[in-house]
Order: sequence, then C-alpha cells, then structure tokens
Amino acid sequence: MKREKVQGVTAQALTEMLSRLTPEEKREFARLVDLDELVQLKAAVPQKRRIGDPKVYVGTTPSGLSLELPVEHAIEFVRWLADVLAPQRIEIFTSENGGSKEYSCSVDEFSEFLKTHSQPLSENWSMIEFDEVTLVSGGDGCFSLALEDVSREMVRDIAQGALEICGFEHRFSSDEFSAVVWDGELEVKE
Amino acid sequence: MKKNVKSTISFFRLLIEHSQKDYEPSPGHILKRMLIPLCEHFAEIAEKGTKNDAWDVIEGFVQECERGKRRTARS
Repeated sequence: MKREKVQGVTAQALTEMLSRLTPEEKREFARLVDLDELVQLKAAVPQKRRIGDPKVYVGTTPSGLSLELPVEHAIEFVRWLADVLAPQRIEIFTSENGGSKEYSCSVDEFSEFLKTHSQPLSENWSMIEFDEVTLVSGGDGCFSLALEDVSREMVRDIAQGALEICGFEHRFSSDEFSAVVWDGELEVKE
Repeated sequence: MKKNVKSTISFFRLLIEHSQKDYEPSPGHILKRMLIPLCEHFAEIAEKGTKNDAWDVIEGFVQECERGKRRTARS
C-alpha cells in the first residue's frame, strides 16, 4: 500500500476515534500527540470525488471528448461543431414519438434542420454523424464526441470552442485534460 | 453498421465515460441521459433487429470495455 494511502486511512481512523472521545479524553490525547504529525496526516487525506452535475464539463476520453453543457447552449454547440468539421454529409438518428427516426442533410441544410428540431434534439437522445465524427447526446447538454481520426490540436480547439460558447475561456496545452465549472468557477486539470 | 447498433454502442461508451470522470454524476443524470436511452435502443433491437444486430452490439460493448479498461489502468 502506498505511503499516502496508509496516511489517508490512518487519518480517517483517527478522525473517527477522536469524534468518540469525551472532552477530558480529547484534552489528554492533545497532551500526548505531536500537533505537526496530526496536521501532516490531515493534509494527506485524499479528496473525495465531488458528487453532482456541474454547470459545464469538457474532458478528453479515449475516443475524443466528453461534454456537459448547459442545455441552452446545446444546439448552438451542435451548429458550431458542424461549421468547424465541415462534413460532406450529416446524418441524424434520434428519438421521436417513442421510436427512432433517421434524417440526412448537407451542412447548409443542417442549420434549418436544427431550427425545426431544436426541442427534441435538446431534450431527447440523438446520434449525429458528421462524416467520420460521431456526436452522441443523451439530451440536456450531455454529449460524447468520437473523434478518433482527428488531430489532438482539433480536439483542443473543439474543447476550447465548447467552453467559449458557455462563457468560459481556457487554452489547453496537453493531449489529456478536463475542465469543469462548479459554482461559477472553472477548474482545469491538464 | 446500422444506426441503431452504432447508437447503442455509443450510449454504452457514454456510460463508461461518466464512470471515469473526476466527479460522480447524479443518479438522475445517469438514468435519464444514459440508461433510458440504452433501454429504448435495446427494446428497438429486440423488436426490429436481427440476431446479427444483437451480436454486433455485444462486440461493440466488448471493444468499449477494453478501451475503458486501458484508461482505468492508466489513471
């Protein structure tokens, strides 16, 4: 077991133990232990994963990008993505009236298609193929983008563009990264 | 590959991706955005698809699992 993990487990056990001591026992404990050691242990407690749905998330995956965007920016992002990728053909497979439906259009026609289908595309699941690039959405701004034959630079550009659409700015420099917005603050890991 | 097969595999990938994020998405998000779409896809394949479609889905899932395992091993 790694040293940090041992420290983390020890700190958790100590916290649990301390919470059960009477005030007198706590005073006696404080007299016996080295405060510096305790502070060191506290710092080593591993941070737990935050639970919930962030306002914005953009992160690399083995296939491309995973995105969580506010629903009001979802259609804007899809339209922008079509412009950036400039595919020959766009094919849409989406949930409609309790079943699935297929559409196909050119980039020029896509903008008009989005105008007439913005509500189902925002709320329901869909898969949109821009030639070799596939965007899948569970609705409500939840996307997975498969970009396997696209350069890492293009992946970064798309991630940055998605953030900008949502009102945030960051220039990614690594091949693997994530950016998440909690409480209006952008947190980036590269 | 048929659209419903490709889409089913894509939603499975979306589910795996959510398990590998730095945060834990809410159960409601997983249910509405991944599990319900997956259930609808399964229902359509069961109703209108062929045995080959079902097999293609399983093979796609296996590929996504392998990809997911590689990422988990790296992190």
